[in-house]
Amino acid sequence: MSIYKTINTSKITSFAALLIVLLFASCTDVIDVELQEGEVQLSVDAWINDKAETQVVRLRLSRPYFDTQSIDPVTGASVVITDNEGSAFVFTDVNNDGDYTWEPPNGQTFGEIGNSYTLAIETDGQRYTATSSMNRVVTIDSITQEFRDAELGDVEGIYAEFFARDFEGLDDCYWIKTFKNGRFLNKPQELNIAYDAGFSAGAEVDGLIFIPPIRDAINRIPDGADDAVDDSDVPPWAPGDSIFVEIHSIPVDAFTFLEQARRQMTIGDAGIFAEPLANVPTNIINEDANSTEKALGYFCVSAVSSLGRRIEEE
Amino acid sequence: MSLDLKAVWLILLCLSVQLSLFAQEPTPPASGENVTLNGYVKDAGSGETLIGVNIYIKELDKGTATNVYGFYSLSIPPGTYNIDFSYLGYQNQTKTLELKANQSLDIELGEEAAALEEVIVVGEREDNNVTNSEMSTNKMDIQTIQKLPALLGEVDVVRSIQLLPGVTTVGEGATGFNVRGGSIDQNLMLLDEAPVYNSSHLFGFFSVYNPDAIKDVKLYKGGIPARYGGRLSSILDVRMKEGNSKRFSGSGGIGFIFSRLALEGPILKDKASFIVAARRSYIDILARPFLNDDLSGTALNFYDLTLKANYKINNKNRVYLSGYLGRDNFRFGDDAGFNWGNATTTLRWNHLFSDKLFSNFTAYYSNYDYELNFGDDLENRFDWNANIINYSLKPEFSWFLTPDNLVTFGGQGIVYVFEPGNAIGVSEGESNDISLNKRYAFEGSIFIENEQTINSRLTLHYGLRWSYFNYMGEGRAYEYEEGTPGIRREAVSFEDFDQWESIQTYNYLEPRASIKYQLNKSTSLKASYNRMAQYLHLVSNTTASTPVDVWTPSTNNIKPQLADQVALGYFKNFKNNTFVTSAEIYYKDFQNMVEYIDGADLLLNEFLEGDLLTGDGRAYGFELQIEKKKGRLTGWMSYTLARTERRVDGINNNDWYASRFDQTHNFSTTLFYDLNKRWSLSANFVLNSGTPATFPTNNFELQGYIIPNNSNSTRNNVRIPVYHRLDISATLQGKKREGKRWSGNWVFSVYNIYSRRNPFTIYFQQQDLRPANGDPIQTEAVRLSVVGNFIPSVAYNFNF
Repeated sequence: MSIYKTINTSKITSFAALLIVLLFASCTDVIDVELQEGEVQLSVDAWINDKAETQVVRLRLSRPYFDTQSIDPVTGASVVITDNEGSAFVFTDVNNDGDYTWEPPNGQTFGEIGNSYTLAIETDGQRYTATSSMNRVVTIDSITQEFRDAELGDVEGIYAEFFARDFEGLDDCYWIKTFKNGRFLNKPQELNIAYDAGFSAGAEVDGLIFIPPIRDAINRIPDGADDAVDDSDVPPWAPGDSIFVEIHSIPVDAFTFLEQARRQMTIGDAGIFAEPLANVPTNIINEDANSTEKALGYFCVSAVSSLGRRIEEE
Repeated sequence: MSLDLKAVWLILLCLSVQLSLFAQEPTPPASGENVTLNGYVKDAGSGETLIGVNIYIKELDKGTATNVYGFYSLSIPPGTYNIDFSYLGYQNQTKTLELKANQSLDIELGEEAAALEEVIVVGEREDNNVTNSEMSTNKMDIQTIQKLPALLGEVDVVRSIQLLPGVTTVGEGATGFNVRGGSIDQNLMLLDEAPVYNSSHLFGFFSVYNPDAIKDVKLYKGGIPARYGGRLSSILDVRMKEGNSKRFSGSGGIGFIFSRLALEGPILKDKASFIVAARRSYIDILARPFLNDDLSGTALNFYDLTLKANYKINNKNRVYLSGYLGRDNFRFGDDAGFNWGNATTTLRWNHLFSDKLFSNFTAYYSNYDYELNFGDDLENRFDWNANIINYSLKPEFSWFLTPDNLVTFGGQGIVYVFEPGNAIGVSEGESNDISLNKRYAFEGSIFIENEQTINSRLTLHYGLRWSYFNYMGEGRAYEYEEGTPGIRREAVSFEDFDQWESIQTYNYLEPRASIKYQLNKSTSLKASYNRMAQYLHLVSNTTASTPVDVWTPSTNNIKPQLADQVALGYFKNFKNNTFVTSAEIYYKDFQNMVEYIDGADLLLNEFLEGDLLTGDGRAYGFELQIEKKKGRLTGWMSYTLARTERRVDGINNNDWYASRFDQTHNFSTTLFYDLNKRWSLSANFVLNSGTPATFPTNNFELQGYIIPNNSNSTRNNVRIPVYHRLDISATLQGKKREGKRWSGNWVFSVYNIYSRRNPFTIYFQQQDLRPANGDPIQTEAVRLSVVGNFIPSVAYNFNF
């Protein structure tokens, strides 16, 4: 039930933070920190779906933590995805920039629901493999909007919810991606994933309509900047905005990966209740178990359903 | 009947046998035999019994001290003696007695009249520090705690304890404290013998102990006597006042956080008295202007109520009833609520079986629970609560065998009921019960210990405790796959058990011993060893423990934690006990400590045990304390040099790593200065090494997210900067008016006077600002300072 926990404790900790700020003048400030040097590793960003668009596997080298500018592409690799029926999808680095792409032939898309896939990467004398599968995806029944009064931390204004019902049967996982006016809401706090209709395995909220905190998490999270665009005085939606929601089916292991990635990226939100930083596990495995070269990242195959609407005047 | 149930019965049987053995009245002494002098020592003003009063017979060079109920007993040959009763802060009394037969002698000690005038206190036995076999213990009287500069002017027991050597905390706002490398769940925090499972109000800023109701605070860090058990690292034994038995009186105060009021007085003069102490915060009132109007349903308050009554039936029997009820209550509109609190009740009966055999029977109930709920309406909501309840019976006997032997024995039985989580989620009217099953356990123990004076130089205190734990049905026990350490293990099979049926039992022998060797009148050497077993574990993976953390019993998959500790100490007092000093070194070895896999799911998880790891720990250090006890300037300095490490398969490449609360250097100074009759000042300064934290080394980009990575897979690989802080306070004593009982004082204090932003933690994140489309995301390091400024406060306290 960690999602409930996440939602609850985030609300509680934000409340606690408010209290603590009032009482103790608690504060956060950005500081310079010298970090230990780490080893550079191959990082694999291979999230493939059945949308009718170019599919990309990005191969990069990891960077020192504070370096987000430099791009260290891994070129000259061989990248192939095969399925359990023997078909092979060859990804090629057309622009020699580490983006290995596969173009779906006209009218076709990548993969088929129910199939399993193996990604094989050969680079620098090492061979890495990873497996995933394309699972069934639920359809979105509706996206609704409503005008809400202000609540703690949330201004009054238009908020949206989406409705979809989880399949009967355990272990369906989903990544719900929201696009506001065509732009993906990509803050770590906005990463919205579901395990069946709830938040984690063992929760057994199977076959229900997604629980409210998931339905609700398509509303963007404001940032601290005082720019009147995305700050906390602005409600998430204004009349005329376009809202577009995609549900990507993901295997259980990818759910775990995203959940842990979100935890690591949002660790500061928990304030004094933060867990220790931990590495997010990968499914990219070096076939030579004795090799010291280890990869980072993830391979995942999804089926996608989507629905959009325009926000109306309330 | 299973073997394990037999063990339970065995304990009960042993206890009852002990009872019947000692129930017989001993015959009066034949000539030549020792006679017994016993009684209670009380405060002359309030009738409160006094704990640890020294009773010393000059002629025999022998002595004893009052126990936690203020009782003493001495068996000595008949004769005429000068008997000294001394207690710090009180006037000494010497009684000359011709002792022919057993005799009772109750003493009332008066407080030192005017502490400011250079009173020369001649108490010979203020050298407890040196003469007593106890080591690694700290006693703090409530008067001292009340004089310390306090955060927001609120006197607090737990925050005061953090100034003692060997005691650390991960930072302001963190619940509890760490003793000699132990985690916070390894402290047994008692309030009149009932354990308190969450000691904090407002997360960890204030503790549940109401200073108005507290008499005595004692912390055992090592050399823990056999009568205590159940936790590895420390015992915080907090005793409540009994209530003034002479006259009706009260005390209270108004501060920034709490308003307090305590009333006490006799119910029947010198027979029965009571105390009721209550506190309530009014942050909600203060915070209201900062919150929007639409938060009408919002509540944020915490309160507690501490009460106690006692009745002296006759000289041989006295009963006490004490209780605590506290709650932290947060409610955010109609939307979400969160509250938690402890409730304890203790019933005790002191009975004198004979002049030499003092007994106490304690029965207690303790409950910690929390409740969370949120949701818009009945169709869409989530309700979640959890609790730990326990019931216990605890007979204890003190047998004042000879002045040189004090034998204490007894036992305890505790029944635990755990409700790790009752949760119901409702989505569009369809509800789902995702509650976890209740868990049951029994913990039993028997112990015997003897405090033996061999000669004027050598004192021994040795004992043995046998503890037993039975994790019982009804319940479902899972078996987990072997798996790779550090990776979630899946359950492979399970077995269901009936009510009372043993699922798993454990038992341990826990030897305890300490020895004192007196080098000269003012110097002694001490050594101690203790083994402790702990059957309960607080499942918490966060820097500061949260109120929703759940206690879990040892099970077929979670082994009890064990610790062995040795300590050596050198104790010396200077200038007629004006300066009391001690130096100790310790080494502590831990087994079966609970740790967590990366990404562990600790709440409402039926398969929690698959996410737990066990490992070893070790802690060692050097502690130095210098205390000045007399004069206008008093206070103490303490310094600790220490190391606390863990080794767990599946964490830090299976190597040793520093624990989150490891502090290499920990220095603190606390000073009190009496300026004149009305003004007194106090200050404390704290300087600690930064605690370790895990920082990333690299990042990689995935689907537009920047994910941190530590390519060395090390835990706690960096230390956050040094912590230091200075607090000061000044107390203005109100003018005493002739014939008026009312007296008040104003306390002005400033916490963190030079506004240092001590980091509680440093974390790493993507910049909060949503970058323009196509721009790279920036990463940053953020320092969280819980106290980011100096905090001034004023409080008014009164007595009548």
